[in-house]
Amino acid sequence: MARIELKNVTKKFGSVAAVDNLDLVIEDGSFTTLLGPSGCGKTTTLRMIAGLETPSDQGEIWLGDRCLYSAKEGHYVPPAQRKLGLVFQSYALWPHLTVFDNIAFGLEIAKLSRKELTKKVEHIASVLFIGELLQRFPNELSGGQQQRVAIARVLVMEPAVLLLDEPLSNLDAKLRMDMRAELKRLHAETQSTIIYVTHDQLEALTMSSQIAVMNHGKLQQYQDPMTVYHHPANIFTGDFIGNPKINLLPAEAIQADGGVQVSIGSLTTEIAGARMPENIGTEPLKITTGVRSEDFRVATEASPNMVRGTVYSVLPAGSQFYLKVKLEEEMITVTVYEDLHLNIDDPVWISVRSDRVKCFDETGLLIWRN
Amino acid sequence: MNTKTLLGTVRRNATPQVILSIILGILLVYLVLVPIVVMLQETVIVHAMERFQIPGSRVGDFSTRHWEWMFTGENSYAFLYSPLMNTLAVSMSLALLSLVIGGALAWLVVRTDMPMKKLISNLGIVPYIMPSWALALAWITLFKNRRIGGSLGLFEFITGIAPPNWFSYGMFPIVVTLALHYFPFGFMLIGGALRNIDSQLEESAELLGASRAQVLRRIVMPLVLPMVFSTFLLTFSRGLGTFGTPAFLGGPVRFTVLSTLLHANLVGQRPGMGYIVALVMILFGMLVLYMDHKVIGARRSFVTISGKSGMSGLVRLGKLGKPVAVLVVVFLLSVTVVPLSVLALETVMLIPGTYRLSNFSLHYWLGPVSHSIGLATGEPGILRNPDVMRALGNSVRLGLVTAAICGTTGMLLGYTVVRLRGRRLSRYLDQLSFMPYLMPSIAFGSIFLALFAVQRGPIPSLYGTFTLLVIASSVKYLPYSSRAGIGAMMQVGPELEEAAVMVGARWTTRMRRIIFPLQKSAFFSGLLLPFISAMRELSLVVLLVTPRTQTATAITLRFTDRGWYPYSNAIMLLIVVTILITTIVSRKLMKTDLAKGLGG
Repeated sequence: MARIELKNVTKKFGSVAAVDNLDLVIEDGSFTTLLGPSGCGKTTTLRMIAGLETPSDQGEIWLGDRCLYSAKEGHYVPPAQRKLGLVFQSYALWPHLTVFDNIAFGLEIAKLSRKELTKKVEHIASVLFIGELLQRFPNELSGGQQQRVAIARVLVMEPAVLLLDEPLSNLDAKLRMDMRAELKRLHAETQSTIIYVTHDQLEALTMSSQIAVMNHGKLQQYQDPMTVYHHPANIFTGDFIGNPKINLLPAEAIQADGGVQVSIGSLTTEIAGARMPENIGTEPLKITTGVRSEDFRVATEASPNMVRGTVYSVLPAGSQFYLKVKLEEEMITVTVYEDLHLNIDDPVWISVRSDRVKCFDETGLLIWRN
Repeated sequence: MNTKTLLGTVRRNATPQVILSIILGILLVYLVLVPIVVMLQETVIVHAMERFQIPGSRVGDFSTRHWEWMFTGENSYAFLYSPLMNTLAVSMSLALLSLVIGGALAWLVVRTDMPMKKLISNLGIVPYIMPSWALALAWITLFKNRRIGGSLGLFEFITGIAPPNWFSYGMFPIVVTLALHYFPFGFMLIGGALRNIDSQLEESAELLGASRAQVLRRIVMPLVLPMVFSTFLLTFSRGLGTFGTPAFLGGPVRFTVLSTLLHANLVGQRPGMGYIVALVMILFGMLVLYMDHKVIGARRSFVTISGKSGMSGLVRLGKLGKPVAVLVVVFLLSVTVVPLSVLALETVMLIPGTYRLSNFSLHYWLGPVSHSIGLATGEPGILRNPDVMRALGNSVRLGLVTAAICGTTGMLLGYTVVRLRGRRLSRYLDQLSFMPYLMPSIAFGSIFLALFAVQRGPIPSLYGTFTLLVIASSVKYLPYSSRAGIGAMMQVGPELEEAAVMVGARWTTRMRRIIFPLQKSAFFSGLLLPFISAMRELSLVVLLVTPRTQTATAITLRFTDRGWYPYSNAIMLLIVVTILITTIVSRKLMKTDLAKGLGG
């Protein structure tokens, strides 16, 4: 069974902990993405699973019921015996070998007969549509083709788990879109477990069944994409995921009859059913709210319960329009899906969807989940 | 941590690169650092020949006399200070002169539209692959005057004018001939730096209204300045350690520099004083290394790694282009082809100093042992001389073995240094393997004399063996190969190897099937320079050879010492021809690039 479990894993480089006490269970058959900014420890985590790095004398790594690493037992399984396939960010195709030899290399090491080897290479090449390219050298291939070869080289070894380290970051935007679809298809067809490392939040949202958000070597949130998007566990996750960036606005909260009333400047909204934390007295609680750009309502004329702002800039993007709006003290980004024919310095009226407002306490943690 | 974990940790950390780096580290410490301690020790004990000068002492006694004689004694001016001043003056002037020539050539070839660039580029490195004192021999042949007796120089023969002493011998010809030998450093290194400047940097300056001259002065010069300075230091330290040229050209007028002083001391059984001279030279070598590190350290990578650059418009020389190119070609021919022809001419004139067709003879090449002519009694022609043939064989063998060792070690060093990048071990290895680069050659040779003259612990005395020559040459020329190896490994990302680790390829398999095939061209480039250097080097081995292990270069010294120039010239020609053929063949077959190992 290809379930991977990391217990208490830490990796230090010098005195810096690249991965800090990580506990993570990756379920069999899932498409799990490790997401975070550069230096968050996601690639290090992947390399520890692969066996190219070893944890700093602490914790355990399991593949199903097989122990891959245990600090206590002094147990370490070398990469090749883990039966995991790793696709590198740069693809790491050997430039002096043909596509065929690149794919066949691992089989040769495993001492397969020439006949069996050729059969396997040709089969995997046809699955990945690179059957025509077998006699070429890597530098004669396009980026997309190189990537297929890199994946073929790994899949031909029939790994229990496929590890992908930012595999799309070297492709141009259009090709990246195509490859996302293909990787997702590959996942569905092979039903293998995929662990995918990326810093691209959109890639994580579109492809994963689970997202593990990491920052400073620590796991921030580990849930499915929609939950991570709509209910970020903390300010970091809310801020990191979503484009345009979430609007983070200072606000005050007090208990009302039906829930908690939140005031972002003069813009008020109510979080139904929520209760203020105990023992905080009657003073309004200072909080930070996070509002995604599409969670604002916009009107071009004054209407009740809406607050007046001024258009700072208009950025049409085809299917939607991004507005920069000066709202009292704050500059906010708003997405609208129809052309409101707005110009710079026009007045607009703004309100928020109360069910979508995220409230974070002073330590940055999400307070109410509605 | 229990034993099991400890063992696990050790096993996991004992990667091939770590094991390799430790082995290489120990070897380098032993061969580079330990000898310096041994030399220090040698300077404070009494040696066999010295006990008469120090009354009441026995061999092996502790004594600070050597230091006193050298630094404070009444003869210290002659013992040390005067040769030191001479050395610094020579090195400084030759470094400046070769920098001017090399820099100008580099600028002309890289930055202007001068014609005949290809020819000029090829000719421009030839002086460097010739033995450094080939020009000195040619100079003597040309400008010899009657001071050292014997025959006339070619110049005096033709014009009837005897050149003055200052022109024929001493500082002036030493500086000129060495500068003409070393200017290719500046040509290659500064040329490389100029080539690597991103043209956008210049174009942006031009767009902001800077004139060509301003761009040169404000943008180009500052960018290549570290390399200019580094080249200066490199040439300077080479000047410190060179022996052949000052020995040939300085000897007749008793112009002594540190290298000839060191040689005289060690040959004259005064090891205490000799090693002090060597230590002084090493001190200067270290100083140069330190300055080089300070100045260029961080910039080095900028200069050598960045590869991509377009070339902005070349400076138009216009009508001047052709004359300048012709002038450059004439100059280059006159420092390569002309001196070699002069040497060749001398070898086919039976009676030296008489340049007439009737005097033509192949006696010095093919002649039998002769007793009839006054010169070189009892010596057969070069090609029939077993001593010479053996020495030539030794040189080729030395070159090949050294190249093989340097090439392999250099590649492994490159591998470990790059793979362990960021770790202290990697930095130490890198610096340690670079140290011999800037060490004065003759002082470096004396290090090995000190280390291997007697048995030390389990290591036997190697003096008089071919192995000693191989060890000394390998360590001295390792920097060429390690530079090439490190540079080439930088291009091979760790993923290329990790991808093989993932499928279970062992370290040896990875080296054989991935790393080596990718490094082939760099590997052969790393072989070429050590081969050439070992073939043409005299300063390094002059203290280490014995009649049995004589190299071709060392045997020329024997002939020049007796004034038998036709013989030494003929051997010189053989050496040059061997090197030229090797260079051309390896360039054609392996696509080697001489400049690769020089990118220090």
